[in-house]
Amino acid sequence: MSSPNPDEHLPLRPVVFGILSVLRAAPLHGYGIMQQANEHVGERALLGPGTLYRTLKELRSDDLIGPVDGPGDADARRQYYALTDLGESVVEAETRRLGRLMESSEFAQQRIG
Amino acid sequence: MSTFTGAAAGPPFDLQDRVYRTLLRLLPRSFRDEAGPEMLAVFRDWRASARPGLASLAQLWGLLLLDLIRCLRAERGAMRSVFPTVDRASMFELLLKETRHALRGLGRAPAFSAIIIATLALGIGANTAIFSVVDGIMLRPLAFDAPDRLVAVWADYTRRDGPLREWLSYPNFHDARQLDEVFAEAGTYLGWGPTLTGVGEPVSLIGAQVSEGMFSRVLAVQPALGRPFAAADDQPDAEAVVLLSWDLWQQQFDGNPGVLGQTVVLDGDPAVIIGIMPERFEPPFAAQARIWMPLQMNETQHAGSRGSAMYRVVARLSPDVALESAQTALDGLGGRLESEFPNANMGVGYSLFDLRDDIVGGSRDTLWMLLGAVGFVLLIACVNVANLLLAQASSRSGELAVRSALGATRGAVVRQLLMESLVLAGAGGTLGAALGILGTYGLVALAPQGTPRIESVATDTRVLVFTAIITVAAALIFGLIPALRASQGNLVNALREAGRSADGSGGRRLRSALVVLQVGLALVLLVGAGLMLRTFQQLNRVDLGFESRGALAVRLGLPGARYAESAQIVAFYDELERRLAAIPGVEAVGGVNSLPLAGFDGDSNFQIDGRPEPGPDQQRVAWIRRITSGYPDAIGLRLISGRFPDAGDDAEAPRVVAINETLAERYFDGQDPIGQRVYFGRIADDPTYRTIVGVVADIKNFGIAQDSRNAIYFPYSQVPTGFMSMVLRANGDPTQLAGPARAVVAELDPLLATANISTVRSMVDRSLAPQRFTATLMGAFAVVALTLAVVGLYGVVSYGVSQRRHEMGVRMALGAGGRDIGQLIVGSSAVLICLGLGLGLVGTWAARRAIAGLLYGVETSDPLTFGSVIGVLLLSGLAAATLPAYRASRIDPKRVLGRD
Repeated sequence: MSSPNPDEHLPLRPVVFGILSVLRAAPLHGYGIMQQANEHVGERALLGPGTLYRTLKELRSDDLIGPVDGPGDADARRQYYALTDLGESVVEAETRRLGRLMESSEFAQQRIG
Repeated sequence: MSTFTGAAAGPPFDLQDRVYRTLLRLLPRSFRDEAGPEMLAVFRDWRASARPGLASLAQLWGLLLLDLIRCLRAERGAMRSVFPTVDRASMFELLLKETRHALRGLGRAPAFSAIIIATLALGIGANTAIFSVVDGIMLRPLAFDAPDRLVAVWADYTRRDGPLREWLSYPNFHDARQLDEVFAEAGTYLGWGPTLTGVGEPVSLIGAQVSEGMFSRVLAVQPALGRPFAAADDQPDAEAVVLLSWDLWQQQFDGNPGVLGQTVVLDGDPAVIIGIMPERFEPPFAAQARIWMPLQMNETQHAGSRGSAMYRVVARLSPDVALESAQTALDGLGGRLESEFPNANMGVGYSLFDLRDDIVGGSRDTLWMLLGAVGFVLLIACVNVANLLLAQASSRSGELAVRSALGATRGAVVRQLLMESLVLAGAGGTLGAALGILGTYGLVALAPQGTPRIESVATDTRVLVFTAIITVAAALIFGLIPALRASQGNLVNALREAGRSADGSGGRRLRSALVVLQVGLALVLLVGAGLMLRTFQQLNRVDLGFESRGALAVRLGLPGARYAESAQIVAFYDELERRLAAIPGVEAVGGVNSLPLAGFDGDSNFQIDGRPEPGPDQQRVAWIRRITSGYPDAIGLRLISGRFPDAGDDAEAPRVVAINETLAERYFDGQDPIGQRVYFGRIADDPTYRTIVGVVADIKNFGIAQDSRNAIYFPYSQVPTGFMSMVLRANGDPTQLAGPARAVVAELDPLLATANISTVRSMVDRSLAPQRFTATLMGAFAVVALTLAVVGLYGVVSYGVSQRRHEMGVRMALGAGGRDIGQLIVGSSAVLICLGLGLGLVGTWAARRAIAGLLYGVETSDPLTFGSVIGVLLLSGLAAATLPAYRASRIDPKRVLGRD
């Protein structure tokens, strides 16, 4: 069911976009993803362990992320995740899409203003 | 009391971890197997990095539950109908609609709703009030910078024949202070009770003398006005300076900032006011102190007195030092002092306690028990409400069936019932919070004198968060069972029977089970209350060794500046005793340096003439009392053999003492102690020998529940002191003597403060106050629990009768008499009560350890308590069943059956 075409995955849900953006920086384990994604969302942290793993499962079956070995000093009980190539291009595509959206909105603002 | 010296065995029970693991089991197995371990790991990481405190705990769990519901909805679909996926705006609309719906539903039965709300308010209010106290005293950190770094340092005398814990001598404190690899700073203090003169009437103050860095570096508190103590102030010959508490400054000096730099007279000596401590300053030691001065001590001055344990020590650990390593450093110091100064230090160790634990100490077990008891009250209230709602739900099954028939999903019905529960709980919680705030004021006002940290008790956000949590928890407990049950009903049957509101046997069984649970909970609570009451009763019966009624005590301290010579002091007290005796209504007068029940007041090592001096780690220790010849009559001290020290034993006469029974039994087993001699100090120092002339009864000196210790009585004039308490025995009401006694003191010395006058009985009452407080509260909780349980039972039985009218009618038509029917009902109620009692007995067995430490003179299995509690529950339960049984016995079969 995973589609190799990045655009098929768009638009991303905020939670998904948050998780993928966090993983874009570096492979990370569950708690780290949750923490950083929640920081992106701000004070109203919305991501809990359940939502996190449900989303991770979904992303794995869509082949956007995959399990990797953690760094040498990592705790063994923690599974690290990293973006797949497809995942990488999906985040890029979504970022571009959001960027265009911003531009057109600003453009519209200027016209109205 | 927790100590940091012992290592914890095994992994501690972690409630939160267990709760989360249990919740995870709700998830479908496939998902749980895959993600469960990782979710748990994330949960643990999350908790470990969460900020401490209730608010962040509530936030964490709020998010966790939300997350779990969302996850369940997605994975299982089970919750989808109860919590439908909707956008925010329509969610709000839905909420509003449901609330309106619930309010309308509840409004249809206002009395029913009012009973539920009142029951909940009582339970939640009591919990809020008790939690305020528990939080203020035990949970809230001390109001100082980095309070977890503050520790109390105690000497540990368990290896010697002495008290478990003891204060430190100044030189030992000085050496401990040098451990700067573990202590950022250590400070010490001494109690101090100066008389302030020159500002209106002389005032007797409670104060403390503190070492220089105690406020500014150990506690890290600066004065609100003026300057802190400086190192120069703490030198032995420095000018006397004082810091005032905010209260004292307001009351005695009208809050005038001009007092800074002014000189006041304390015990006849001048002292300069250099600062005012902040309004909210709560000193963790000598909590009543309102004035402080530097100790003005240095180690050379006290070098000889390593055994004189008078100094209480508080220290601040260095930021990166763990308690264990600080303890190791102290162990090292203890060993060093033992080998360097064996005479005073052999067998003495040192232990560290978290300062807050140290202060709260004795109140902790009582507070946990009260919180547990009040939690039981809430549980009973919840069970009661659940039972009422179950009964109501089954009579509403028709209404719900109609709703279902009109297209409402099962989820919608559950949602409606849950919403009603939440509205009820919300109303109960709001009212309960108000009751709780009132209750907190009441508890603070009623709390026994000297309850630690009672000033910091307040109903604040933390407490209200707690109230909100228990309110929601209560709503879930009492709302979920009826809601799920009601929605399970068979639609067709329910519609068919709508007119008759019949109730399946399952519903009846569930309600009966709840009654059993309620009776069981009530039994545990009643037994707890009964045991506390028995403890209080036993303490009241203890032989104190003196006659507490009809006596008045006047405490006096002669300032050293004006009473420098022993002869002056003796002359003052002789004359005072003579004049007090002349007051009409006074039967006897006598003085003592420390009143009974006053607690710690100086002990001393003693030796017995003719016996080898024991090794340094086996010292004989006795508590010293100096008494005038009138004291035995005034306090009611009993003579066992020989004679009391009397007026003939003056400064010129041969030295004599009396000893108490405990000492006589312990050291003169089988011999007559009269005529034997004791001495203090070492034989090598040519000590004074004192002949034992009498043995007197033991007196409770350290508290009513404490065992007696060795005591030695000196005739006052052979070892005079300026600090004495005069005891006046009245032939009427002793309080009548306070005015005349005050006048007599003023006549002799107008500059002496006589604020400290109380009856001896009030001192006994004060020492019993904690037990009285606990017994009263437990009694109140027990009454509430009993009432709720009886009301619950009555409700269930009478509802059951109304449901089974038809069956009763058939039975009667078949020949059963009214009597048989009545017996049937009472009999089945008795079965429920007995099952409840059985459950309760198991509960008391499980809970016995929580209360054992708080009891005195009574076992946790006290047959009298158990017998009366079981009797009371059985009788009141049967009484509750009798009325419905009577109604059932009067059923007219023709009318009941005729209806069909």
